[in-house]
Amino acid sequence: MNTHLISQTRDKKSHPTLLIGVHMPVIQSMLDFDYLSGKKATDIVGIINGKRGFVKVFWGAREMMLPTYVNQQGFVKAHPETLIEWIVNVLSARRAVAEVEHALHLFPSLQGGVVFAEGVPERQSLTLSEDVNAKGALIIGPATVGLLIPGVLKLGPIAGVDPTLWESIDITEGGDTAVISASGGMTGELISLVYQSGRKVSFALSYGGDRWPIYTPMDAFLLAEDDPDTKTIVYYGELGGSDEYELIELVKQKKITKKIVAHIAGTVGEIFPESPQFGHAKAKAHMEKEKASAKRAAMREAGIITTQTFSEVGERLKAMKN
Amino acid sequence: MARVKLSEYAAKSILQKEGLLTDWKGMRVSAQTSAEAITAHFGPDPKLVVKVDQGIKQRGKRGLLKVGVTPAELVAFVHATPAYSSFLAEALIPHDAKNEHYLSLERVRGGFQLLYSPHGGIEVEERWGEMTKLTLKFPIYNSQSANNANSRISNSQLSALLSQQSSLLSQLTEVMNQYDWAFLEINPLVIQPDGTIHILDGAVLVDDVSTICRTDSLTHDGLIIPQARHPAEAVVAKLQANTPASLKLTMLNPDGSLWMLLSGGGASIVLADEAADMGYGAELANYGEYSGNPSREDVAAYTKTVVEAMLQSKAPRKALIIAGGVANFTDIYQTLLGVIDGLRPETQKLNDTHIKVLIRRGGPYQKKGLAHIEKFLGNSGILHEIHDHTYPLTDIVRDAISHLSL
Repeated sequence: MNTHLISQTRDKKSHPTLLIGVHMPVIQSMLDFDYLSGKKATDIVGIINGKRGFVKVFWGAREMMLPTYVNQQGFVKAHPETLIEWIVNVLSARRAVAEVEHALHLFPSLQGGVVFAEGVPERQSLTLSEDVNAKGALIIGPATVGLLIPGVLKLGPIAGVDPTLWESIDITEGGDTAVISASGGMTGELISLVYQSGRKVSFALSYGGDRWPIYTPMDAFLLAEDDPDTKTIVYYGELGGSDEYELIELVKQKKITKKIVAHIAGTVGEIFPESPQFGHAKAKAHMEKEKASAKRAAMREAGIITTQTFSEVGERLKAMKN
Repeated sequence: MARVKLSEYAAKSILQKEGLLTDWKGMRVSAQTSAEAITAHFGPDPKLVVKVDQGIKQRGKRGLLKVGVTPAELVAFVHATPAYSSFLAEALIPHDAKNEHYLSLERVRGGFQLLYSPHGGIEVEERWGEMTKLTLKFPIYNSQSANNANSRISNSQLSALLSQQSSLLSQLTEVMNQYDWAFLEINPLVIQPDGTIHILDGAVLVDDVSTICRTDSLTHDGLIIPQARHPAEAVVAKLQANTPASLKLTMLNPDGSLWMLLSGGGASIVLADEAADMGYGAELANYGEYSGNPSREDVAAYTKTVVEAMLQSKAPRKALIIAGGVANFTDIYQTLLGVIDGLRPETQKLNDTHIKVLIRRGGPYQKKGLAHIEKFLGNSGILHEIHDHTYPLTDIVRDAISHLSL
């Protein structure tokens, strides 16, 4: 795994990106981001939608066309010279995984990508994880809103698809606070909180709410640790699973040394006789240690700032000096 | 949903179909099953075990299991346990309690996590500390990798199990792969002195998004789906079945004072946490969320369902929280139009009962959406307060609680 990918990506002038599947608000928001970040052209080089042609999009106020292709092989045939670095896969769960496997195989230059779909079977996610790890790519998801490096790269709907929201959160300029989150909605919330606290985001990564994220929260923490711009990490996790215990190990082994502000949601699950299944696939405590309160206690014991209420996250960020 | 319980009957039927449990002869039993039908299934004068088969843990301790019964006694047990509808009857397998082992396999990153204890049975929880844990790497189908696993571990009884039962383990993991089982627990696993194996009680979790849940009838019919305990839950379950968006509702206290229309898997937990943390857990009427860009119609129907249930609550003061984090791709304008559609028919009753509607939402087209609903609530005279994404997320819960305690 390349833990220096964020700064390497910042240093590059272009980030050729292929869209697999069509989600027009997502595509347009990526164009808006590129435009507002002052890029000369969009990083989107093509869209795979099953037919050769064009789709109409906007570059600023000007209309423009993005080329579409039958499949990924079709793109490679048409543009053997283009070194694809990123993919954004917005296909449904049924087709998403096979297309990532194709991309891994077709693009030796691939740095990473995003799998948007919810409902990918556990076994498929785990198998894909092994293939992705063998290639060393940064594939985020399933069930993720994506990756944001302010001013550099926006993969997926992360930070929203409505540019008027970016008036209060200037995502064209980077800062020193990384956002790592299980939840897409809470990623947006945390990005907003970071800016309200007078800070800016170094990068934001939503690893997704599934039980077996391909890119794990631990991978994301290691990415933040090796990113020279990141000084502080804000983390949102939930009940269910045991990721936080691995994080604690990383902190104990001093593999993660940067300041962390963490919030683990789901204490409400403990007022039920048996933990309910919350919105995300992983969000259910099958065992005592999967409960939100157990995770919070273990993290505090390891010296990680773990908030009691969510409003404390903003207060901590404001109070903390880098 | 993600990992869903499978009935023991379905799990064992699958194991049998795949060549394990060759002598097993289970029977599904309900209050309608007669003693004659049971005798016809098991043969004359059978000694049987009967257990509730609805995915409930610790059946032995809870009295949901009876051992060594005749068909007539079995029927009597079923009738004396009216809170449950689905039972499993099996032939009694005589064995010594010291031959009861515990074995579970769970799908994890890189393989299966195996938990094993030579002391299985009803008291396994008390002796949890003696459990041996081991990750079986993929693939474990050949005896060589089982032997490798063997050499790495010190627990002699587990090594014995792995070497003697490597075919059992590979068969089990093969079934787990083939049928997308995420978890299998056998307690007790009886290993008789002659090496014969019996799976007495089995619990299985299946990955409900796998195709096996749609294509295999044993799996499909064996999924244990929690029954709607309130009419509102049934309405939302029906809505969910017909939309690509996510709509979930669990009723907690139908006479509660704090009602919630929450958006997003994450923010909905954070908001419900806040109510519980402030000591209002018992007042929480419902938990639920809608997300994934639901249509205006979906939101309207969901809102209407929750509002109707809220109007029936006997709580003297009530508040409706409509909140969520900063949405990424959900159209907030369309969402709030749907909320208005759902509230409008009950305007009069919302006014009469002084219910306060508290809104905190952010995301695409929020400005237009929030302005629209502010106008609607203002014109209809419903008590309200409205905030955008710059208002701290959980403060809306505090505001609602102060309305309740006025």
